[in-house]
Amino acid sequence: MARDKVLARINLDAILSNLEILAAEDHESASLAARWNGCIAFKVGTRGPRTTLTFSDGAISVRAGVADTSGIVLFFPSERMLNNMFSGEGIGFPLPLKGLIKIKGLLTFMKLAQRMEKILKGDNPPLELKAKLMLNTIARTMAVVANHDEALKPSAAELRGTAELRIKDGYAVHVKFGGPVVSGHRGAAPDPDLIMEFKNSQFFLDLADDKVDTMAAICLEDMHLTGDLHMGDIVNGFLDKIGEYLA
Amino acid sequence: MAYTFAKSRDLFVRANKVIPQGVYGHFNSATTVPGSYPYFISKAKGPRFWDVDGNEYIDYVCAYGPMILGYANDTVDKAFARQAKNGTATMPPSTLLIDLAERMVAVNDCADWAMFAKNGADTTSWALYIARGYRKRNKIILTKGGYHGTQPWAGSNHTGISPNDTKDIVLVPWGDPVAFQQAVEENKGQIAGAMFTPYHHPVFAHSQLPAPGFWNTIRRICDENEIVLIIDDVRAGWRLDLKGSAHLFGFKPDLACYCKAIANGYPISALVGSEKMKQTASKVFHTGSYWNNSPEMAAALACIDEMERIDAPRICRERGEQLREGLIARAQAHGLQFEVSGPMAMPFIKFANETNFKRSQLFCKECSLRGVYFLWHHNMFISAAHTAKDIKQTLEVSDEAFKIVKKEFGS
Repeated sequence: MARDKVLARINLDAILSNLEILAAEDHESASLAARWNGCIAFKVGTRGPRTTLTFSDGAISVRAGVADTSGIVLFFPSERMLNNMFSGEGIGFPLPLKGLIKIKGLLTFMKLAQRMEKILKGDNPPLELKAKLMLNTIARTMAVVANHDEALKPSAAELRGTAELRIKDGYAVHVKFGGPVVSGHRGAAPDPDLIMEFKNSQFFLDLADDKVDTMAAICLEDMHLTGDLHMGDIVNGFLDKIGEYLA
Repeated sequence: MAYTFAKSRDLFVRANKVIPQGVYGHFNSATTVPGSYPYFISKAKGPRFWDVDGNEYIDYVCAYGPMILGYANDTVDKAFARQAKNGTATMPPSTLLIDLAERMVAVNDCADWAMFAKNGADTTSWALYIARGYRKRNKIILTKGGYHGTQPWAGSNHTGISPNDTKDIVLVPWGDPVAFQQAVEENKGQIAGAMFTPYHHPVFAHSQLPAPGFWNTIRRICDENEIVLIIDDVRAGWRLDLKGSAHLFGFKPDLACYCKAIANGYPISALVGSEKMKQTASKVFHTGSYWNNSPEMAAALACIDEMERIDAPRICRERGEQLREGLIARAQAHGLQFEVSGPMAMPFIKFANETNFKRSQLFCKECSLRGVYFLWHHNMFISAAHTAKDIKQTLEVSDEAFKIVKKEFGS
């Protein structure tokens, strides 16, 4: 199913990449990550997406492909199986092709996933950290849907330039359009064509939870849109679609 | 002293408690430069309005087109008020219905009959139904990036639109007769109608005037393939040519849609057509509670008379030319690359050396803070009420704004 294929890429690229931020900025996650050194690869089907999660002295990095150094390789026969594992619904366990006995690595990953879940969906999360994770998820997911969602690809192909999303005086991410591949990045862009700036983390999280009247928020300057608003219009459509994928 | 907007903002907060978006639709100010534009006005007269904070503006939006003779025009307002005393929504209608239809037929180059509604979208939908009924086909060709209202078939992407709503719509680039011919060939015998604006006036991009011969080619392809040619003259109608924008560009459509400037701000729209479309038009049941209100018809009659008397399109064109030349000259004097596209009466402004509109937004912001109400994302409108003195004052303000753009961006 097309949706599962896109969602699998979102899970492997956008969601997993949040672990990099957690290990770097969340004390509890950093402690968890420091327990194990090694690589866990995720492999979907024979031609599906592949990603490797590397743990190294408390830091985590996520790269596309299966690294040769992967001590654990988790194989998912289908995108649906992978997505089920991430959502915790339905049948979603992998076939461990390699590293079944490296239980410490798998446990570390599972505990980090639980920590991420708690921050993103639990009560009273650290707001700034949650906002960072959400922004990172959005930037990476936007790139995935722009590259792989058949309904959005034509709109993405129209765009040229960089869209930056940022908390005022805080964290920023950006998405580059116009090349052969749309890509999502952390940090501010040098000269973004579109800037979407949110007045603070709480406001951004409310917006992400669809609790904000966007047009009113723009008029009341809780949210500043500057630059290429045609791009903003299309990006807004992407945000709606991202919400559908991540619901 | 730059303008401030404390009352506008307070009122917006109040509005948003009971109104989605605070102010909705194309009247929402999210596409201006929020914080530097007013959200509510207190009065409007001639080419100017005053906001709730007491700031005065020379207005180049003209309510996105309806205002052409100036706000609160005495002639039109008196005609409306006089008729309102005789009743508004009545069944049966007033004889003004006949008077206005006869006036439309007399003044418009392609009209053998006329029908009336409230908004432009009422008439574009009406035209679409008539085209389908006339040709017994379902597909309609529209321009990519064109605008014919927010109804589902017209290609809006807002919440609530189903992909099925546009399954009979074929999109072609504007101004490309080869692409149009190709779309017709690919849908041979299935195209009921082709709906275009007389020139391309998209948002976030320059306006495009038709190349020489373009309309003759489109007319020929339509005739060869029995396609109803519909002109959506809702935005440009009356401002460019009282006989219709198609007359200005030298062709005759089968159906043409009007609204905006027809009654200088009173709510009425018109669909006109050629004789061959009349029988099918009589079979389409499309109506609304207030479509035959007589005061609006009285206003439209007075407005058309007045536009004709003063030759409103000529005034709009001349003032637009004065504005265009003045803006470009002042921008050049500051070393800025500034462009104005579209007809003189409906200019779209843009800096040539950017695609992201940052200079345009700063320019418009600084103009707004000094009493000139410009738009950066949409074409603007010149009215017959704008005087040479208004334009001169506008250019003085623009000079200040260009200076700030130069300082901020360098070029």
